[in-house]
Amino acid sequence: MKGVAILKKKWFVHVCVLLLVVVLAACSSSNNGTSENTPNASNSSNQGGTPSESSTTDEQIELRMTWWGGQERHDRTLEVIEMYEAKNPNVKIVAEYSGFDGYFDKLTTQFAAGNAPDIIQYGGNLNDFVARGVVLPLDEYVGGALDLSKHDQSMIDAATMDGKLYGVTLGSNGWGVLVNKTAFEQAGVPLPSPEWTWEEFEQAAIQITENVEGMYGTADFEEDGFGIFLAQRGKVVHENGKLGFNDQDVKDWFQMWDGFRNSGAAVIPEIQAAATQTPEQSLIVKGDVAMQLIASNQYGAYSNATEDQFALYLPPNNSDTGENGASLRPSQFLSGYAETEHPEEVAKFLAFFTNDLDATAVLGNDRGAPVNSEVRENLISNASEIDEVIFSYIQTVSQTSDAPYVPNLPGYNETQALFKRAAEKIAFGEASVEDATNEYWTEVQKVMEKYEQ
Amino acid sequence: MGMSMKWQKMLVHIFIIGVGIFMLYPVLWMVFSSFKPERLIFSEPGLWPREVTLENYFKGWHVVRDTTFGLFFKNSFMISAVCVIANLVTCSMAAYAFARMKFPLKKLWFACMLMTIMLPAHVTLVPQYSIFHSLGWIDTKLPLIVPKIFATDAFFIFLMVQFFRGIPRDLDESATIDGCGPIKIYMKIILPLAVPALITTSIFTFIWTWDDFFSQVLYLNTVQNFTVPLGLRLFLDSQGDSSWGAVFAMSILSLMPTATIFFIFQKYIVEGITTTGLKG
Repeated sequence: MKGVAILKKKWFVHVCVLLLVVVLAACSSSNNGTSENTPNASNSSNQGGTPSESSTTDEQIELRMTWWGGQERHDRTLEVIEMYEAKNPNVKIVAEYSGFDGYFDKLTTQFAAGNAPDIIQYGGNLNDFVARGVVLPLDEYVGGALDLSKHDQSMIDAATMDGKLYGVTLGSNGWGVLVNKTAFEQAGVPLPSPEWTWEEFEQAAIQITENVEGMYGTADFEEDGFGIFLAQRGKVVHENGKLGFNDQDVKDWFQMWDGFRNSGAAVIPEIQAAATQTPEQSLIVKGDVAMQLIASNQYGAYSNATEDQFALYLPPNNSDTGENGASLRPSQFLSGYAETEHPEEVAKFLAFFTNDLDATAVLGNDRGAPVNSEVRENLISNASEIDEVIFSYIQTVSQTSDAPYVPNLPGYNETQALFKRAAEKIAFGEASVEDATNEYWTEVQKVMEKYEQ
Repeated sequence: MGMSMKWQKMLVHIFIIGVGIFMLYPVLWMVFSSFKPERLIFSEPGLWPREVTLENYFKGWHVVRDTTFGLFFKNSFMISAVCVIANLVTCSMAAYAFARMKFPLKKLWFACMLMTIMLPAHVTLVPQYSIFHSLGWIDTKLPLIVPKIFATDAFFIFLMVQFFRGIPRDLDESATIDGCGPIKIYMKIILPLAVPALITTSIFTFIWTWDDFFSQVLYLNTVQNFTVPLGLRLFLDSQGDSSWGAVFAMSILSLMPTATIFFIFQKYIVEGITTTGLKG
């Protein structure tokens, strides 16, 4: 019996060895395959090494492009790449796309090894990479290969750092109040007017809390709402490394929300504290609240996650200044790699990606509302239901508010956590508005000092 | 007495089954959610779907144009299979040397080998990437496969060394008397007796390679080379639309190979670990 077992095991070992031989052979053949490819690659880069200004049409150029996104974005972007290749037969674009996980880890490694793609999508962290000197300045192509004449000025400014342009903005978003229309109808509460004030907002929220079992009027607007609140007072969160608000502003904001919680307008802290950023698991989708502050590009993600009907409202007005404080903010940027061998070709592609009417029609709203006004008009005319809501919201924001785009506070993670902690202390009754404000104010100034150096 | 023992056993079993179901709940939730239409996944809290659809599976399988999830499975299988075989052959050879052969500075080399386990992967990341880049191996499967052919998984070498040390030396000696050299002893004595350790190595190599995300995302650039973990993340954009239904559907498909392998070889895993002195 034991002998049989050993025999069987011997057989197993032989099979293993045999398999290894086969696989090694397969490997070496695939090795040949790549070594056949490498000369091609080095050839094309050699060609690029010869004066790249001579962009004669018969010169074959290969550009690598990377972006992150979901299924939808991959499909749309690939289609645009094919359109570009059809129009420019000498250019081949290698698409290197992935989900968001690991995207920037990989990019950082590629920069370290000098192997980054020619065209790169960035988010709000573009400035970090500009500081490292890996992003291609585009100024010499503006007006030539890269036409920005129809782009929103604020979105050009958003990609401009230290006086140089480092990319094109792929889309703009604005903060807006997502309102669950279905919940309002079921509760018999009339929908608020589009130009509402904080007082009307509170009244509507109270009615929802009173009339709908298990639902509260509104989620806390958190730090993003505070930025809007400041803009309504004609202030900015920060500018030139200095805070643009004072402790009284913070106190007023916390005081207002404390009032909302006491009157029953805002959700109880136990639920708010467990809220997540993911649209699909947000308080409004779960039916805990009827109103929540969201970024306009996420309108689709929220709407698709539930059967309820939503509407997007401007933030409630400050009844003294009459300002709604909404501003446009860039979603993502498309930039070149500083070491690319074909900077002009990169610029041409960026122009195509943001200006070409057919290309942008394919891209749609996936990266936010387009920044080119001509493109936006073209899209509104044949947009889907969801995109129409978003585009007209962006259009309304750009018509009704001139609040500037303010990037996140330096040390965003830290300052956001500070704000959240102060808000939660007040909500749970662990600190008075006064004390929590003072604590936040001291801490946030320390953070600002740290980043000034 | 007998009766109460029986009752006690039953209670223990009921308790264990209950805890098991409790632990399985997230997986069950994923299974049921994969059959729900996208918009109901997060708004309908219960397990049982109100509407059943296979849409997530179709959508997930055709992940991007011209590419199906089948390609990712093929790539993942290819990489995992080669890694398993390479680890089996090379790690067992290295382990045999450490366990049975005499060579200069053996203790030092053994310590060096163990040190590679303790070295955090992040330290070697950039140099490694640069080397593979200068070899022209980026966006091929080679950076994921070739290192395994050189017995770089020190954990498995260590595991097998421990196992081999447990095999009585008398067997080697009598084989030597019968005229076997070191190679024959390795082939005819050690390997056949070390099957549990070999199976443990194969299973862990397979599961770890199958689930590995970071090195794959680093070295594979284009979708033609993508593996299952990379494919799953193609659906997810933390800042925009994520196709959760498709992720769940494909996650379930990607769980199947590992689950099957685990259930088939479950017995050997336990045997392999308990007999290597690596008692947890």
